[in-house]
Amino acid sequence: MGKWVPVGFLVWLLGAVAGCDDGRTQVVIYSPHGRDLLELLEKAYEEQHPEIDVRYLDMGSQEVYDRVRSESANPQADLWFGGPDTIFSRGAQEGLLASYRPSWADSVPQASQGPNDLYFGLYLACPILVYNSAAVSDEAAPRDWEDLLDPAWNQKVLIRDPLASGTMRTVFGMVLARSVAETGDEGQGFDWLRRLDAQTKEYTLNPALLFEKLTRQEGLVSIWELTDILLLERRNSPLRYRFATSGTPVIDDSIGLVTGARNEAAAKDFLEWVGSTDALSLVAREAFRLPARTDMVAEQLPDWAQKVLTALKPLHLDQGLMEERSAQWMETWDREVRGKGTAPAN
Amino acid sequence: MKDSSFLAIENLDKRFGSLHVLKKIALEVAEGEILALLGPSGSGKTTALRLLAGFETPDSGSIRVGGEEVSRLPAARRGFGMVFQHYALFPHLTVGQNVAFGLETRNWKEAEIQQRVAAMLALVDLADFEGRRLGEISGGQQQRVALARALAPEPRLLLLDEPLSNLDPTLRERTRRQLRQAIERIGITTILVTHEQEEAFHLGDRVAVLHGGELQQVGRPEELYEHPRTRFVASFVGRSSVVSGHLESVDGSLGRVAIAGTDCIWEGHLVEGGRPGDEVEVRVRPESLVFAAEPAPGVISAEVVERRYGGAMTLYFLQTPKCEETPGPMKLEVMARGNAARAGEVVGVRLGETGPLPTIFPIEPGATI
Amino acid sequence: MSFRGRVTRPRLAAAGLALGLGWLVGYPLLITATEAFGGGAPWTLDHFKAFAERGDEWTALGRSLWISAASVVLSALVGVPLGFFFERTEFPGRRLLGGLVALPVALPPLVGVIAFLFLYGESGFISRAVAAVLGLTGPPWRLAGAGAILLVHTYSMYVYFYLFTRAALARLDGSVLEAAANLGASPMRILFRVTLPLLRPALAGAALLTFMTSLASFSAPYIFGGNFRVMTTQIVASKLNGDLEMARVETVMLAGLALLALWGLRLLDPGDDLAATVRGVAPSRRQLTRPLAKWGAAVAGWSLSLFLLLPHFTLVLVSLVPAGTWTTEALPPVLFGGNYSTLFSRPESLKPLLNSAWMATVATLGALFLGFLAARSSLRVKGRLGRLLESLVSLPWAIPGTVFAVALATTFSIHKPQAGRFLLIGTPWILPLAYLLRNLPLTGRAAFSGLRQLDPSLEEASASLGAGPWRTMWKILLPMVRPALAAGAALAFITALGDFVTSIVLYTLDTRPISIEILASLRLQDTGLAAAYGVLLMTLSASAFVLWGRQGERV
Repeated sequence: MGKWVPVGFLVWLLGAVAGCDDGRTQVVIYSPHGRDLLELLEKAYEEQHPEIDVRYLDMGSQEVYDRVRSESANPQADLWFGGPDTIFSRGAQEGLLASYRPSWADSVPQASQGPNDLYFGLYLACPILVYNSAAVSDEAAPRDWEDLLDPAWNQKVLIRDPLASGTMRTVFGMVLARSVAETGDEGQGFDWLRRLDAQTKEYTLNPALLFEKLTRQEGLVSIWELTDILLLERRNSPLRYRFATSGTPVIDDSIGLVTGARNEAAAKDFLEWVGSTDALSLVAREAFRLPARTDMVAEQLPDWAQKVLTALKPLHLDQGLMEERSAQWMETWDREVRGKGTAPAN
Repeated sequence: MKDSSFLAIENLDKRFGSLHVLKKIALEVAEGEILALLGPSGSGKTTALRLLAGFETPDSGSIRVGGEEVSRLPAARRGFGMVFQHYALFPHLTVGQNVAFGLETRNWKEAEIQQRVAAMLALVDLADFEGRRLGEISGGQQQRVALARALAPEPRLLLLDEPLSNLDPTLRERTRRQLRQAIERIGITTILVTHEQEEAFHLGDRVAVLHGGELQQVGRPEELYEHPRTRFVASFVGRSSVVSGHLESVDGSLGRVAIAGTDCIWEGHLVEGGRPGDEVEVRVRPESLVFAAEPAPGVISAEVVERRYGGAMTLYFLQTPKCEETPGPMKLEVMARGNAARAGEVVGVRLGETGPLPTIFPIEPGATI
Repeated sequence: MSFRGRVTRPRLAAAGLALGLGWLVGYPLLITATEAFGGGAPWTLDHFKAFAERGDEWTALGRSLWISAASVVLSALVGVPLGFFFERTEFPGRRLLGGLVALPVALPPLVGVIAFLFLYGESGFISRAVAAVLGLTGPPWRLAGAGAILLVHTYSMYVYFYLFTRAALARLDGSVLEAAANLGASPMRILFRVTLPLLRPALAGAALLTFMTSLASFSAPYIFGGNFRVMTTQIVASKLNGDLEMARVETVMLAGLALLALWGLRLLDPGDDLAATVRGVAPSRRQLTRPLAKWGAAVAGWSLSLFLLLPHFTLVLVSLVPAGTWTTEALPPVLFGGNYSTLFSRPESLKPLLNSAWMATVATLGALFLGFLAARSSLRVKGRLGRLLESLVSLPWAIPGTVFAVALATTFSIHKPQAGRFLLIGTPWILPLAYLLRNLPLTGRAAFSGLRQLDPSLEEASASLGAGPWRTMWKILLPMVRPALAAGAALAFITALGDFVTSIVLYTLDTRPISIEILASLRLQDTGLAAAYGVLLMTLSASAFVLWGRQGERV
């Protein structure tokens, strides 16, 4: 009798697995946007298109790139949805993206459009300063990037491991690009990063650990992206944010069609829809994403977004330089700065 | 001058949980003597050996060697040598290293160790085997390595646990002889555990028979065979036929028994005493019975049901016709020359004059023969 | 005509099997290696030169080596005494505790490390308790760097030593130990001169397994390493940074290190046959009769097991915490079952569980089949071909999971049938195949040892009764080696179920396994849900263990 238990288990499993396919056309999305946003979009889109089954894999933005690249011989994804445009640019150079120009493309600033219609900025991601309001008063919290080097925050800074994070790459890129712009080379920027390294208690593996440790006061301040903090605030987290006074290096969070997509038509349709004002105002309301489109009227945006858009002081960065040097910079940082930080000589 | 109680065991008692495996054993072994512990499996003989070796501790009783009480001493400090049933050779060491092991633990000097190992291996006829690995030598050779290893540290006492049971019969015979010679050459006091009577008789100067945890009888082989003191010894040691009858007369330790269903009167040793008229059972060795040429008083007529040819002597299994005085036919075993009778033949049998006298035991209450 | 090397059916089958295994196991590694040299277009040593010129790479390589060596030593120091304690001493509750002590093997990757963080991290229970007891204001230690990695490694890998030691002790001939005592050896001397040398093959096996596992270990160095980089984290960093060439060279160097270590361990242990003599009975356990000793041992056993199970309890606790509610309190202020209802109410969340289950099942069955076939074939033909089969079966053991996954991904990413390369990447088959090959050593070794212990005359007896080779295999050999196979299969199943390093490289949308879902939940700051997945994974693994125990008892 006992020996039939495993057999029954197998049969049940096969049944369960086979039952998953219901014959709808699938749109497969690789995305770092997280379940909150993706489920929201999936539901809204499938309501309007019952014949389409939206499926997604969420992973880090660098991982999306890595995965699309390693699957290029047999692409599994239809859409590459999310991640800073620097990564998209690399993907475009390697032929991982296919041209498609959605009707809303003209409403996106020229700088946020990839070459040859390979990708387009969809949302705006804003790196901000984060602090735990349960331990740090609003007055004491750092106001600008520079303030993180204050002795008060020595060993109180937590940073998400920048190698795997597009957001942190952009912030570090900002520091180095500024250095190049001001002095002609990265020397001053790396010095700054070295001082930040000395302040840093730990480079955490993923955002979850970053928030966990901030919440549990293993560290008190950090740099992260606006959307996550707003989402956390909604869940009663003590974490609060502040825009840096010197300016915010706004990141174009982009979307593009994967080369060799298996359900190209459906994917194009989804891409078209996700950039529509309807979809954008839905995600702004429910998932705290700022639209990259400039033609949205105030009524289409929730209060928080209007406030943020007014408070936001975008910092203009040399995109070309960042795209070109980003990998080299991060490698140098990883080898020569990480864990070797020096306190400022005084 | 040899100490007649070099090894003295008194009141040795051991229980495993509810199992009483050894019941107040007392034994004395003289210096240089070989004592065989004989008994069926479960008789307690192995436990007795393990108590001697120090692998178990007795619940009560004492073990003295050369006057020293050792029963509380750990095995490693007793200075006894032991050959295990499966030899227990160290598989990761060579033959030489195995033999040297006990010397190293006693901190012998390197040169002395080498000398001693060579001497021990020579003693067991394995002079050139020092560097061999165990996988490269035969079972008989392994047995001899085990003996050399046990003897090398000059133990006070040698313990042998079924040392020959893993060998095939031809090899066993030869190894047994070599074993006996080696022990005698060294003159070491030896305790041997075996379940085989032949082995016990050949190797042991004296034999102690164990049964159910009790010491049944200790004595030279011929004592055990000719004068068994318990019913168990009589049946376990050597072959015998069992017939019933009643005591006619008693003369000291001798008794005369009228054998049921016949007109025979057999004389034998009264093991546990008795009075005329008692119902008794009589055990008679096969070589004590002889074929009679023709019917006569004292001759039992019986049919040969089986003939077991054994070369020098042949064993005949006889059976008498049914009669009213006994519950079943009488079964007799007779040892005679090979051509004395044929199977199916009806022959006459009587008690001979040369064999051991029969032994007489009272009938156990309720027992039928 | 010579009869040596004559072509027979078994030899043909063995050759075919060797070819197939070589294609699946050896070929991908070869391709990865050649690509590190430029893939022949043209051949170049440039990438290796770049590697050699970077000091941090050598540091990482050195760290991988010493961390693995230290993990072996520490795991042995914990596992071997534990093995002795539970195998050689009898005390109340020994059987149950003896099983519990092996449970770290069922702690899933990633979340297991997270559980450590909650326990021993700066704000973990234990750290806070120690700080409170000592009256410290700050945390008593930082869970980071080499120390933290070694702690996690020791915790999860001592089980190999523990299990191997127990098994070997149970197989030991007890009279050999008595013989040593009889020859006057003290207990210490018996331990070092007799017992440990006899355990050497088992200990060498455990050491090899521990070394390879920690060389391939990724989660612990990833989470606790920080700037303490080892080879596995270095590979991931290079990959994330888009430096594929460097990642390839690093992969080859790590594989080289593994093979070198394998070779070194072989030198240490020539693996000669220690079972040459007649077998005896296992030594009896020491009965603790004095009540103090008896209950002392029981208390020690219980508290030890409790301590070892702390990460498991922590995981269960974390799975019951709603997101964001547990901040600076010593214990979570609110508990709820919401993570579990989320998990079971959404079909999308249950899918990874089913995926892991079916893939692990298929991979285990496949590995059992292939492993048994290879073992049988190897032992039948013997000689060079037999040895080739045996090393092919064992090879995946010596190759870190990341390396193996990358090799498979590289080899099966193009469709070139004439070169033996097929397009498997992106299909649901690549991951079960990877699990299968990774677990082949576990089932294969089990089959080898099981078949080797069989009396060859059994097979001859079956043949003499008119049974053909298949019937003999099905009716005689398989049932006889079932306990050994069950042990190998249980380990293989658990490994495949919780696999992370291979999965992260090869999973697809339809084959997303539990470990990836845990990673995703962690990425989405949903530690509770990740822990809930972890608890389910743990439960599944533990059930596999229990099933295995039953299998072992039945025969």
